Amino acid sequence: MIGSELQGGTKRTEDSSGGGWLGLGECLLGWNQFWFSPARTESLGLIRMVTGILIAFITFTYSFELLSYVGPNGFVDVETINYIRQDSPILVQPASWKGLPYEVGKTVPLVSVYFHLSSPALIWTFHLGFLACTLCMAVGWQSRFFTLLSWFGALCYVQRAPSVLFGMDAMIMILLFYMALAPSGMSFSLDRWLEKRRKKAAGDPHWNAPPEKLVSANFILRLIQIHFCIIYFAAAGSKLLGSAWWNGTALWGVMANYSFNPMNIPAYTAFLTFLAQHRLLWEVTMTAGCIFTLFIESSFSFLVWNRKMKWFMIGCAVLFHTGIGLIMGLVTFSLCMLTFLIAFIPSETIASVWGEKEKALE
Amino acid sequence: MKSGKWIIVFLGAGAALEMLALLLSLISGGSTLLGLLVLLGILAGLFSLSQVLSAKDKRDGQVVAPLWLISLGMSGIFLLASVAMDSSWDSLIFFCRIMMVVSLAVAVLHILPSLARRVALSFLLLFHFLGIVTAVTSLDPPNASASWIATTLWANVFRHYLNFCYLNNAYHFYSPEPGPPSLLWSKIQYKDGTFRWVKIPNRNESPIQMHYQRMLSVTESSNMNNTGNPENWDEILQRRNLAGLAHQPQITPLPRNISQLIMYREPVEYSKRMVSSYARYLALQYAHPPGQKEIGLDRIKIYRITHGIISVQDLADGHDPLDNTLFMPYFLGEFDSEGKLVNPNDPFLYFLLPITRTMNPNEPTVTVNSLEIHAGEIKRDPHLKSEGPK
Repeated sequence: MIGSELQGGTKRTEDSSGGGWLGLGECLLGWNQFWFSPARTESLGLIRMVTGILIAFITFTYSFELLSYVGPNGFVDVETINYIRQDSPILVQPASWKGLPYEVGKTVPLVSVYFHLSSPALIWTFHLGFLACTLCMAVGWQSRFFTLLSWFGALCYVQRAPSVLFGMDAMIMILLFYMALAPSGMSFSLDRWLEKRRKKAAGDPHWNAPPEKLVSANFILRLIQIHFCIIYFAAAGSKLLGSAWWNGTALWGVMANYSFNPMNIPAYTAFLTFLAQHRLLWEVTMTAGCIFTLFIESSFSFLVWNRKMKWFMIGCAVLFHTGIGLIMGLVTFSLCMLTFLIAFIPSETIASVWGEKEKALE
Repeated sequence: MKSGKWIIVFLGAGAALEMLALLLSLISGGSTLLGLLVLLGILAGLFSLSQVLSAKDKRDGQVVAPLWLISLGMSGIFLLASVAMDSSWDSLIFFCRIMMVVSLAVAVLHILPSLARRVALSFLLLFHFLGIVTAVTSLDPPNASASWIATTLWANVFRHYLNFCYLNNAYHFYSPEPGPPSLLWSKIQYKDGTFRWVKIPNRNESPIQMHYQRMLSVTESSNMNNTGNPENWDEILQRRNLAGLAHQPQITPLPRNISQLIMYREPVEYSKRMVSSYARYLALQYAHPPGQKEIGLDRIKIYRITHGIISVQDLADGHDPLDNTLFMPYFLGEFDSEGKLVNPNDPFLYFLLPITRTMNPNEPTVTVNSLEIHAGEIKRDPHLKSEGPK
């Protein structure tokens, strides 16, 4: 099923079944096709652009209280961050049935230029430098170079300021990690535009030809897809341990949480009050919300690979994250999750939509 | 000059800058100039590597330098940078060493035959995803321990990789149940007897939503608690209740029928250090009362508030989601300006200071706010006055 979902890759032929011992050859062939087929780069280009915009925005928002986040006397001061990275013991259970947990180490390999900077001027210089890198990444100028620097820059913030992080930071770091490895500047980038212009000026008749398919593009897209499936599956599995997700009341805990939701907006609270005053409506809404959440998180990892279910699952996931963004105010987090979903959209689809847009613009 | 030659020029410049930095470090030790040379050298090297990668992406035949050679050169640049840097820049030295190995690996992968490269990449991706799965499964489920295999693999094999790349997340969002948020309320007391409250998060004081969410995370960092019973639980509960009775006005004793996990929440070492750091942060930010630079800071009392989620019935009946009784304050300690606990044996430390309201229909409603009594900002809690039946 997975093997037949290759984007632009070589389709399995009738005589290439591989056979072999217990179908091992078949498995290896499927593995090879899944990971190492060439793919177009439009999906990656779009992911790079959106990730670049998101990380530029996130980096910009550090500006509001930069020294509180990464300064030597911030929320987590030098003394505390040094304890975390150099002296916090890591304990594990012993290998035998007897004995107490033992320490396997004290160091956590955290990396940040901000561990070593105390001058506000230097901190601001690096901050503005990282912000510039993220903007270059977003527009796709020297994409390989600036995407790598954007990843390093983002790493410097998350490693230095562990107390201010939330789910969004984990998601953007995953996207940046994969983008730093990806040939992401081949589409939707200034690099691509400059390349086309250079070729046109040189009289190349193929100046407007689409970028070549790359094995590395497919490889990175697969990494993103599998990682996203693990995220969803882990989220669903952990929810199934909670009684509130079973009895259909968990959504109330999410929606009526004053600090996380816009309950300061009278219309929102009025809506919740209206729901609460109509038990049947409340029960149906909450239960449906729980079922939908569990359904999408637990089944996405399996059904998205099915041709007939793929767009339905992507649609459900878009709906799910749009809801999270609107109801809980976690807009950037939701946009990060929606960016992951681009990896499931075939580059051919993106290219055809973009091609029509380009034609319309011309 | 063709683009390929620029690549060699940048790589050479990177190596030269690192050698210069190394020379400087031998002569004069750490300095801003040394840092600048190291940084520029790495950037020049990375730029050349990125040019080769981009050319490879584009199948540009004009590139004169093969990827493996540039990667090898980049590895050398990272090695020189790690040697040149002052030992106090330990995290960046570590980063350079890691990148040196990564560059070497890229060079080796590139010269491998296609099949061997695919096999090597397959093992790398299996390592990557196995690591992510251990991060997901090494978190303790409710009332149980995490898998021994997952925790052992995570601690001994994967944690360095996952922490370094910040991929160490368990993705247990809103699970097993969506929990109530935590707030941090701090009473900053000055030497002239005046005080001010600093409460985070605060929607009105956050310039943007992202800042507000980051403040919510600051409060959550103080909320990682020990889940076991303290050894001398009976004794510390008795001490807390006796201190409450001796306090003027009295602080409500905690009945034994309440779960110990609700009455007492001692943070783990990580959270204790986070709170201590936050106290130092407050001491610097709010060192003086507004407009009175000559008056110094005395103490900071910090409370973590668990803001309970309003029940459906209460919201349907028109109750306020900000009702006092939904707040469950825990005393995290009184700190000096150095972030040290003034009294580590404080009988109220890590205990709940309940906010309760009597609901007898035949009597006026009375709210008892133990937080305000404990904070001592007023000798008589204004909420103790009668409010009339609700």
